[in-house]
Order: sequence, then C-alpha cells, then structure tokens
Amino acid sequence: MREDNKIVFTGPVGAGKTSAISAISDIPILSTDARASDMTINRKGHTTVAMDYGILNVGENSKVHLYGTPGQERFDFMWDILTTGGLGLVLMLDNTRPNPRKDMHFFLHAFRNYIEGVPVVIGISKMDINPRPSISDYAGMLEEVRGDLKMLNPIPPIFEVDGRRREDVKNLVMALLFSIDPGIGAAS
Amino acid sequence: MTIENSRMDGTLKVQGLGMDARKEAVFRMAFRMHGRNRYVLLDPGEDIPPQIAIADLDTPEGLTAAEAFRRANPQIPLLATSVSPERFPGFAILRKPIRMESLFPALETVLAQKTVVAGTAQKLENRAGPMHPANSGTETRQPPQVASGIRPPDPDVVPSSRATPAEDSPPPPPARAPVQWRPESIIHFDPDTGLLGLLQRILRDRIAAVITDARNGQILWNIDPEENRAQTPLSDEEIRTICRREIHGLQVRAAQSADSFPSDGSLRNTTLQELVWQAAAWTANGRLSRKILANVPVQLHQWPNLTRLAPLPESLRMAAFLARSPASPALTVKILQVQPAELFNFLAAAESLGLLRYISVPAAHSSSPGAAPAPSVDGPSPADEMASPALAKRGLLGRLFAKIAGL
Ligand SMILES: Nc1nc2c(ncn2[C@@H]2O[C@H](COP(=O)(O)OP(=O)(O)OP(=O)(O)O)[C@@H](O)[C@H]2O)c(=O)[nH]1
Ligand SMILES: [Mg+2]
Repeated sequence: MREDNKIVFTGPVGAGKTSAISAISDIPILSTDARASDMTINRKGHTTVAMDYGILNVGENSKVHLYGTPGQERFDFMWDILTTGGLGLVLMLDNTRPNPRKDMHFFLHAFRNYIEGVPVVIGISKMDINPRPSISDYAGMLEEVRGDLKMLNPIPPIFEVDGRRREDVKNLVMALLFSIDPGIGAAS
Repeated sequence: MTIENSRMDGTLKVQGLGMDARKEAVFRMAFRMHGRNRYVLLDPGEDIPPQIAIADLDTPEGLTAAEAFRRANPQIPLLATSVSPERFPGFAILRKPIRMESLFPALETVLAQKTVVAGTAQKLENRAGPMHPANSGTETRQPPQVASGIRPPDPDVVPSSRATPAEDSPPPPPARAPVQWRPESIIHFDPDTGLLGLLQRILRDRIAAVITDARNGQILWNIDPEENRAQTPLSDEEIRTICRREIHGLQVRAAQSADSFPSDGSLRNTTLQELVWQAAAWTANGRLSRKILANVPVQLHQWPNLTRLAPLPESLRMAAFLARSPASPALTVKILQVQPAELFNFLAAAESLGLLRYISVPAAHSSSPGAAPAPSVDGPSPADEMASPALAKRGLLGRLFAKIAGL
C-alpha cells in the first residue's frame, strides 16, 4: 500500500476538518465514530475521534487520500499513523475559539517534523461568526509561533475558509499544490 | 477451526487489548484503509475467537490483559505495542509510534510464526526485513532540501508501480511559444494618485473617511477602516472606469455622522481590503507600479487572503512563487511563464495591501537594465531549481492539480 499520496487535515475541535474533507472528497467520507460516553471534551453533536478519510480519484488508477485528524489534543498515537509521507498539511483554525494563537502554536509544533518536509496551508474558519483575529493578525502570530520551526514554506498561505464551502477548500488545496511546485500545470 | 472459517471469508479477526475506544477506532480505520478487509477488529463484547490480538502495553490494564490473554490462548499470536519495547522482553513487540508501513508487516510476521514463545524477545522494529519493506520508499522519499526551501517536484508522488507507458515517456513538448519578456514595452503607473492613492491613504491612516465626486460633492464611498468596511452605490463597471480615468476628480475627507448616500439605488458592502485590491488591479491595467523595478527582486511577506479577494488570473501560482523566495518581475515571468500584464496587476494589488517586501540589490546589478539579478545576490535563484515548470505537468501531482482545478 502506498501512503505517500495523501493530504492531512488537522486543527482543533470544530474547526471544519470533517466538513472540508467532505467538500472535496469523491467518496462519502469514512469517519471514526465514538460512543458519546467516551468523549470528555465534546462541545458539539459530532466529533471525529480518530480520523476522517476521503479520496480524490485522480485518474490513471491513482488516488489522493485525504486524512483528517481528530481535534482533541490526546492523540499522538493517531498522528503517527497519519504523518508518514504525503503531500502536505492543511491546518484549519477556528476563529471562535478562545485562543487561536495557542491553537496555531500547538498544531504547528505537534507537526513540526512533518512540515519540515512538506508545505502547510492554513485555513481560518468561522470568520463569518467572528471576524477577529484578522488574517493579518494571524500572519503576525505566525511570525512569533514559527520562531523555532524549520518549515518548508515559512510564509504559508493563510486564507479565510468556510469548511462548508467547496470553493474555499479548493483554493486552499490549490495553494498547497502550488506551494509544492509553483510551476504545476503551467501553460508553458 | 474458527481460524479456518474466518480465513475462508477472507478476514482475520483481531482482538484489541488494553485500548480505549479511540485507539481501537484508529486500528479499525487503519484496517479499512489497508484494503480488502483482511483484518477486522472485534467490537467490545463481540464473542468470536480472534486469530490475532494486538495489545497496548503502555497502560497497566494493557499489560494485565495481554498476560491474561496469553495464558488463556497460548495458541493465538499476539502483537504487543509500546513506546519502550525493552521493558517487555517476553513479547513480540512493535515500537510506537506505529506506522502503517510497519504495522502490517509486523502482523504478518507474528501470524506466520503462529505462536510466540514466552521469553523470546522480539523487537520487531529492529528486524531489517519485513518491517521496512524495500519498496516502501520511505527512506528515500524526500529529496534533499535546498536552502531556499524550494524542491523539485517530488518524484515519489508519481505512482511508479502503476505507471503506464504513457506516463513513463515525457509528453510532447508544449506547443505554445514561451512568453516574451520585453522590457521596452513596460509602462509604469503611479499608485499614489487617483482612487488607489486615496484608498491607500485611508488604509494607512485608519480614519473613517468618505470619498466624494469633486464636481458635485456626492458621496461615492463611505469607508470605515476599523470595521474593514467600504460602502458604495457604484457598480463594478463604474469603479473600473474611475480607476482608469486620467483625471479622477475625487476628493477625500473625514467621515461625519451626517454623511449619507442618495436614498435611491442600492448600496454594496465590501471589505476595505477587497476594494483596495480590486482598485489596484484595475488601476494597473497591465502596467507596472512605479515602485517596483523590473529587475529588482520582490517577495511576498504574507499571502493575500485569496479566498476573499477578487480573483486575478494565476494569482495562486504567483503568490506561491513570490512567497517562497524573492524574484524580480523579469525572472518571475521567465520562470512561471505568466503574462507580464497578469503579474503586474497582481503585484499592484499585493503592493496596495502592503504585502510586498523589496529586496535591495547592489548598485552594480540595478544599474544594468535588462539583466536579471545574479542568483548569488538573493541566494539560489528559483530558476536553478525549477528549470522546467512543464515537468510538473506530468504524474500524479499534475493530475491532482487538474482534478482540484476542475472541482
Ligand atoms: N459558521 C460556520 N460554520 C462552520 C464553518 N466551518 C465549519 N462549520 C461548521 O462547524 C461545525 C464543525 O465542523 P466539523 O467539520 O465537524 O469540524 P471538525 O474540525 O471535523 O471537528 P472535530 O471532528 O470535532 O475535531 C459543523 O457544524 C460545520 O458545519 C465556518 O467557516 N463557518
Ligand atoms: Mg471532524
């Protein structure tokens, strides 16, 4: 089994990871379901306990696997399975959470080894509910947060992304592909 | 007996030991992704004899459960997992973190041995063979990174095992002629004048303001930078016309509470950023901002928020390129093969939002018009590392690009 053709979606609880994968996957996504009693910090009806899985069929018998991590913070175990090889990391941050800077710090550091080798793109969700922090606030936060990181793309795209809107997710993933190679699909 | 039954339906039942629901869910998902449903994790309380067990020894219950399971089912293979395998010499053990690449070979190894003799430590991760199948490619996956962070298209994303002959042979050379870079035909414009100049002033000063028609004092825009809001009765067509007027005939003054638009007609709300970005691209209209020199490198110090700004052709590509490392407009056109007018509009828009950083070049370089800056000035030139953008059109990355672009 080849595990290299994958994009990992991560971010805190409720940031829109499952929505984003559903928005672009060719299959109805597979999601790990938890018994409600297992959940300690479930703030909403559905939460991903272990991972989400979607597929993009890209012809010639090949697929790109889309994996979503759970939003909770006790999951090193799953991440290790997820973060071997791959095309890049999509970090979704939720603008209604109390401390998005802390979330950004947490997730970029949790994936610090991974993002030395692959690009990261950042989508800020729920800006329709909470317009602040702004995108440039996030760019400022990132400058501080990435101080001790060796990111492959130290200036990643930071876009407003509504996880439910395919067009937004599509642009974020396109930005990821261009971050791998700006020459991709060039009309040369 | 049951082993044989299960094997007939093609599945192997796996008993989880010492795992909470979340860890079990991960294994369940890993098994599903492994394909063909060869392994199936038993649900809690499911009363079917398993063919193999997986135990997590890092919890006290896990160790107890694993030992009890082994006493009760000495004939059933057991794969243990732990962050420190050396603590458990009596188990066939896989070191965490668990990876797909090592999990399945480890299961196969343990199954092949059928039973594990107590007292024989087997640190599976140390075995050279099945744990790291030669074709997994993980060791050589990442090509060495260059200092600027640019890397060539990852050769590994081209699925080698399924490559069709067509994939192996390069596609015919592209028919389109390369984009011409003709410095003599560049027209410059001054971004500090006209509507764009006024808007940038408002953005900079962060004071609520109105922009009026100088002829009759009518309010055309009501702008609140703190709220990031711009309100106007004008249509896109009218705004574009204003952007392209030689004499703009606009005035700006601080907003007053009595300011209001004529009551007829509808008003449109945008963010101030959207308005500035769009006005910059329309004002540039294929011309290069006077603040940007064709041979001097610029870099994006922040990406524009492209999901909420008027789409400009090739803006994602140009943003990715200019966020990576500094490049002059001349070099950018040469490498990305974008139309100069597209690049100039994008640069004007990015500049208007303060997203560009100018990289100073020693006088020797800036005084030689027509020459791209020497690569040594700004570190390795992107040209060196991305000699052929057409390369990336091949393989999985190119197909993925086409797929996403078509969504
Ligand atoms: N208003 C608003 N709602 C959003 C946005 N993005 C996602 N949602 C909603 O937010 C909720 C959570 O989204 P999910 O996709 O389940 O989030 P998740 O990241 O998978 O969450 P966990 O699995 O719990 O970690 C859903 O009800 C979505 O419809 C957004 O940009 N704005
Ligand atoms: Mg989810």
